[in-house]
Amino acid sequence: MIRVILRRIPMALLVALTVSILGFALLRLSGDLVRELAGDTAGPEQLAQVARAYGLDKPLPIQYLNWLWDLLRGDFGTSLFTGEAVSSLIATRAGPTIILALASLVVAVVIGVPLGVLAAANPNTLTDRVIAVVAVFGQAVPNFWFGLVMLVIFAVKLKWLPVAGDDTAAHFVLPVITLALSIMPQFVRVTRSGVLDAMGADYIRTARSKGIPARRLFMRHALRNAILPVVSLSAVTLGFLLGGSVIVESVFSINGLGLLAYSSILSNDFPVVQAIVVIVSIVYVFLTLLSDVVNAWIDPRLRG
Amino acid sequence: MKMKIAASALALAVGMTPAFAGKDDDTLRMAFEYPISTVDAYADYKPEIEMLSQMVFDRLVTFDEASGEYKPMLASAWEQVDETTWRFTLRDDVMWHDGEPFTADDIVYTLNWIIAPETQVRQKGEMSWLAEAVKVDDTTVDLKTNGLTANILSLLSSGGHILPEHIHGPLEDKAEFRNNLVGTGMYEVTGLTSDGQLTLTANDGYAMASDYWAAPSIGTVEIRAVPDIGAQTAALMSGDLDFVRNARFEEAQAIASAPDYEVTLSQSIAYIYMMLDTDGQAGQEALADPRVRQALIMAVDRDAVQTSRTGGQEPSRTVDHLCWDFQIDCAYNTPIPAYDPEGAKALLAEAGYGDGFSVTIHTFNSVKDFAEVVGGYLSQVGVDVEIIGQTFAAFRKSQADEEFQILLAAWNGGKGPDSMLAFQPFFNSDVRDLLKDPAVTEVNKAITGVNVGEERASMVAQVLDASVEQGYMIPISGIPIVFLHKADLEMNVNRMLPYSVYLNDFSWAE
Repeated sequence: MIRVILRRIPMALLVALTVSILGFALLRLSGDLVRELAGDTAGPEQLAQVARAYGLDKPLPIQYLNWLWDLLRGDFGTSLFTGEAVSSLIATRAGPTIILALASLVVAVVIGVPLGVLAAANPNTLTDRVIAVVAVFGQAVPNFWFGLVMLVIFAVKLKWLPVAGDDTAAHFVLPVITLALSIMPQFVRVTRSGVLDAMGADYIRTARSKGIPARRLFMRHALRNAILPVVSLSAVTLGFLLGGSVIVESVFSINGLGLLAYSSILSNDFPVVQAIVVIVSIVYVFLTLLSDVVNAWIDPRLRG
Repeated sequence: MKMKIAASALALAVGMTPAFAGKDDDTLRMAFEYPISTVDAYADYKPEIEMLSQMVFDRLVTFDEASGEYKPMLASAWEQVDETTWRFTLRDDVMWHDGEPFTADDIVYTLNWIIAPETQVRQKGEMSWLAEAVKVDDTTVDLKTNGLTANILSLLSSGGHILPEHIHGPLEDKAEFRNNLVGTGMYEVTGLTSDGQLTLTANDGYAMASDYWAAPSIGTVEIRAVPDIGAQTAALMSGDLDFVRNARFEEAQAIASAPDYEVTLSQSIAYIYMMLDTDGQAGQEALADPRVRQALIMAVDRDAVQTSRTGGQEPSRTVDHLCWDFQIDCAYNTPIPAYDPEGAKALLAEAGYGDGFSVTIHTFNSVKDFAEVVGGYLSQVGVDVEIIGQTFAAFRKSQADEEFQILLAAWNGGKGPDSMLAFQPFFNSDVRDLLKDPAVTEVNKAITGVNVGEERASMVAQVLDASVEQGYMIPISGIPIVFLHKADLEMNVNRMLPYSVYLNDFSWAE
């Protein structure tokens, strides 16, 4: 198992470094940061002064190395517009996003996996078709529309839940349902196809011919193998969710990382965007690594 | 499509009674589209924060739109001592929110801090006229300028809020000022949470309330972040907010059919302009011909464009040139050509482009709908239009790379009462100037050194006339701001700032 981890780590670091370089270059090329900082009425002298003050007069590779060196020392810099430390900005905003992401994933898995198993256990029946309709609905319905409808019904009309914010657990109910609905269909489909594949495999037929009870056959053999892609999907989905869902955070006024990234991109607040890109990519890479390890633990064949 | 679906969803809730009326507890509940990190516009220059800065802090002078005159604020009187010195006499009865007295030291500290080389604030460019602020005594300050600056009062009335030297001065990291936002203004900061919720409380001892700068009518203001306008509207209808700024007009009209809600249309000082590449360097040589540029201007029905966001409803005021008529010394002799599509076609044919040509319109995403309407008019005279919507950051990049064939963009109108603030940046022969006419630039720059009056107005007219005659730049429309609010909330609108309304413009209906 240790060997699996050691083999994956250099690749993971390389991916994170590549993402940071690409992110840095793309962000710097996407706008005229000096003029944006200096303001509409700045003359050439002020532009040069701003460029010097922020180190923007240096070549791009030097700027990147300076930024990387600061990053390695734990310094993400400060927001170019509010002067706040980027680390504290991200720390403030990460909480709501983590809660939203984890809760949505748990809800999606807890509902999606059993539905997938149920569909696989009853292929091509009414049950299977009803579950397929639910999955298609979840995938097809736009987040912002579903979120707004939920808001109008449960917050405005029935007044059971708050409209906006992230102060209490009640504030997360509607956004979690909205987000979970959109990611759940993937779990239903992956679980269903995984279980169906496993149930048709030779080793299952062999086990069945040995007289192993159906329940044990399903739980101990089929589901164990079918769950591998679910683990990978969970890791990838969580990484995606931790990047922040701009639409859901926007509709439900959750001040999370998604909204911070979106507003920072619009204002070209480079240090904030760059920090979010790097953190999210590292989290993503870490989660992928974790899913590899978990899969290797479940299936010894993957440790080779 | 997205707007229609959202409107349909929200229309379900029309007819509901607000659960909690702000009038009952004298608390105005409002939302910004982002969390608030400060009320100091030197640290965050967004239009909403600039408005809040004027509520929590004060400036030396203010401009009374009703009389068209500058009026006292922190300064009770002022005079121009010589060409480069303005003397301000300060009030001696002003206190900071923490009880400390306001003095000349605060003025000197703030203004000199802004212009100091090590200070990085966006307003630095707006204060580039200032050489030094010098304390004469506790209630007198001299502002030394870099040459004659005619619009100094305009600049001081629209910006330059004064900070407390005893708090801001000692801070090594000026961003920490957000933790102790003490001002002299009509509202005190009584709460600012880490997730960006702001509470303001009326300053009962506010010394500068007057007939031209009203004391606050509402005791408490709570501002929170609700990024999505649809969610803001839902919050309004559930009683969590008292108004929505920038509501979608059709949706607001539908909701206001219920008696609990009203729609108020406002205009800020901002406007949308169309600028043409006069030398054809951005890839369309046809634009180098003045007849073509004139034709494009004549092809656009500006009256129709400015009602495109409000279902044909007329705006409360119209922008007739590159400055508003209420701005000081806004003068011109050459009006913008009237809408004349046949005349435009004839001009294009005369210039050899009777079969049309292709052109790109760069625009901000936020005003892309205006660009689409303008593009529609241009296509009616045979011009094939591609619209390129951009974020502001990408816009800056395109601007630096001189990619604009036609630019249709929003502009803050100079944010102040002097007309030169509104148009001067577009005629300075720098990256923003696509005309780069040395004669116009010379007059444009010389305006700064001429005092308010007939001579200066005639110079303004030279610049504005040249802009139209050369087919370079025209205003297209003001920017309507739709307020959807509770019926028991009243407001004065059309203020001379991008946000278009101050907090002391709100009151509860009797």
